[in-house]
Amino acid sequence: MTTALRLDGLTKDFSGTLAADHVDLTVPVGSLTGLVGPNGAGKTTSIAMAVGLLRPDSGTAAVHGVDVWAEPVRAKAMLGVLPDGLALPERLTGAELLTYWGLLRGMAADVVRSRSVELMRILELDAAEERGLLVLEYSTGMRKKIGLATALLHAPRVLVLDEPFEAVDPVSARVLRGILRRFVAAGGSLVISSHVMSLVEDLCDRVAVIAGGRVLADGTLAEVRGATSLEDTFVRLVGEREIGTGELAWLAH
Amino acid sequence: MVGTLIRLRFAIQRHTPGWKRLLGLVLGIGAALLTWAATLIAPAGGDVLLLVLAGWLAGWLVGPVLSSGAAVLRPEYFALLPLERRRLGAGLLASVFVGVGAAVTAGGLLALVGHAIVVADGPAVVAAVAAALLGATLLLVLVVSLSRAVYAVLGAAMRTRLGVEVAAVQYGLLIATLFAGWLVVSPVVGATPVFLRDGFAAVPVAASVLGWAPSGWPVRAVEAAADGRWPAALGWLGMLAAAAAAALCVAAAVALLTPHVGDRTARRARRPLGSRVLTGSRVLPATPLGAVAGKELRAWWRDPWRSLEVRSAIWFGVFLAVFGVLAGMPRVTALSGVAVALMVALSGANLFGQDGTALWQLVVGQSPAAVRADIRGRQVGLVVSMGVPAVLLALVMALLTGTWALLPAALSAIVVVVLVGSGVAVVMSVVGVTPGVDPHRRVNATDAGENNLSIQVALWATLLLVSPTVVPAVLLVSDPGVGLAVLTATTAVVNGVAVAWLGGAVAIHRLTHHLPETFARLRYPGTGAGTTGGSGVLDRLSGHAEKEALTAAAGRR
Repeated sequence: MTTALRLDGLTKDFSGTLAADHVDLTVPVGSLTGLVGPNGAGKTTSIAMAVGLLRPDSGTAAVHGVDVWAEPVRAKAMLGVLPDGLALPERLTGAELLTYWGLLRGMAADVVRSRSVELMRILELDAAEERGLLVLEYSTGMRKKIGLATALLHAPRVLVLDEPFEAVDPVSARVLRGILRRFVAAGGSLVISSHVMSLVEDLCDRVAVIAGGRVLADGTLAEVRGATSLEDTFVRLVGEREIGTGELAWLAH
Repeated sequence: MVGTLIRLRFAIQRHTPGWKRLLGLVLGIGAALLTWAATLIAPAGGDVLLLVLAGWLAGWLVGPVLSSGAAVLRPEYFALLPLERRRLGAGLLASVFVGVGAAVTAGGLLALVGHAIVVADGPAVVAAVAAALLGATLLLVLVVSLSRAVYAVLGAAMRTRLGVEVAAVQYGLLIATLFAGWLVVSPVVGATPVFLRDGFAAVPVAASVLGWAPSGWPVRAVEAAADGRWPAALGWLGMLAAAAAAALCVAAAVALLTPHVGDRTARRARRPLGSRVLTGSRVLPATPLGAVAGKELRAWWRDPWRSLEVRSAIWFGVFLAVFGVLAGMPRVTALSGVAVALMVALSGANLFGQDGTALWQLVVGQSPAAVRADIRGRQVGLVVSMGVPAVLLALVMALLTGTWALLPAALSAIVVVVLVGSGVAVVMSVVGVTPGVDPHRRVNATDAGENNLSIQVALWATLLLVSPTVVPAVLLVSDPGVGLAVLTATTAVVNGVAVAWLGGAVAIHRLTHHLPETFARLRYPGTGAGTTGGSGVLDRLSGHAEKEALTAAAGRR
């Protein structure tokens, strides 16, 4: 088993708040790994450090054995990244964005054009393009889809997606899952973060649970969840806030 | 609800830097005292008061647009509360009346009472003072409501080309006043003693214009009451009341103060210019540099916040020319194109911040070619989008004023200032990167994130770095000739290209070595994640710029 993405002791301290505390994770080639954790668990911070967006205080990450922080250019060429909640060149249309992005990455113009046409069609963004809609005017789900298109455009070997299914409608979500399975079947490796346990159970074959900046469990889906559901395992690991019988009584009508 | 809004407003203001509030308070009290002094001491008190009250009105109309603090309470904050839109609008408007600004303005406007005492005698004093009190109150309502309405219109108008233009005129006028206001001010200062003594005796038309402006109505009412002309006094006050009521209605009820949660851009009749990239033919080269230049040119054309920079620069040049003509120095008009060019360094001093957090794309797609293309492409975008209007404006001004002899020097100056500016701008953009409101959340003209320190440094650095060209250009102006013109143009091109190339190289080097840190300054401001840790000149400048950005951000909140 070779390793597509390895996170090795990634640690980040934001002026006193330990957002990630020695995060270790190994993503084998050809796997679909789900990163789950409560809000503020350190998923996004860990991903940012793993793909070279945020310099860790200590630890490092490697893509197919290439250190992201020592050889960023070589490592990043193999990565496709979809961050959560960041700006894009907002005053471009979807196709303009893909064209800009592909050419900036040094791809040939005709390759960029044919891949853009295909991605826009499959992700059902072609109608918006026909209307000349700017990315600024896209809905949240459409932003996720054009973001995924930018992550896929250069045919990376490893995809790292932060909350790719957030605000995406059920039909588009099926399309997205199909794309991601196709990507892995063709030899790619995938890491997604998500709050939705059922989605991770359905799509992923490996899972890691992160809370309080630490990896609490990781392994194959069967190893992590055992005989119970992933949600039960997650709640057991992270801890549950029980709602007492007397609390929130004022919600009754 | 009004009480809660007022408390919320004060709570937010408590967290702004103390010295800014103090400065505002001191300036406001100073202005109020000056109003009183001018009214009571100047022999031509009535005319002086006309001018000063017009000044208060103008200050309220322009001031909030130019300072980001005006939008302390944004209507969007309350969009989800089950409040009637009109009530919310009225509540927000009422909260504006309770504040330092309204208080010092009331203090200043009450100088009308002083004027009443001066002009009336005998029993007419009571009536004149009553007219003054009523007039001052109505004028305060009018001024504050108009100010809110204009501000809200401009906020809403950042979605339309016309609104951007209106904001640009205001910025252009302000910048031109800062740079060349003395041209106009010096004759005015010289004339002040005469004005205080004689008023508008020399220019009666000014008195009648100011008297017909709403700010002049209470003065006319007071003077009519003092003369015992009751119907005239009541008429002026009635007009003022109607205007105040109208302004109140406009501000509170036309839903301008209520949240805008619709489309972020005005409805378009057709596709954006140049957007058929999948079917059309490509104009720019299909290289990383061509890609960035294309993206930047589209941004300068389509993004209202970027257009505002270009349009303000153009209006700055136009007003500079107007000031020159007003001051009887038509040769100043030749500088209007140079003025536009000078704005390259200032407008481009925070290019990455203007894009919000979009820099993540360059970090993720990092390669030597991509970083180089990003910096050089941004330079190309700046040079084209501001250089072309600069040259056009210079040609138009030469055509209008016939100062063709100055054109070679002006064009050389434009070339060198634009090119040097593009070099300075990219260095400051990397070193002084400052986060603004993310593009899809922007509403107001001041949301794009500005760094005063970067802008200052960019301005002085540009002036310093064009100095090799200044010498032949000045000689050319005083002694026009073909030989000197060729020398000036050559110097300008060499000087400009050298600094543009060098500035770009510095920016590329710095961005290559601090790419994640530069992104962290935008994505994680104030956490220390963006600190570069070096001790060179650029590192120290960078540290100062970050502090300035954090202070400014604290002020915005």
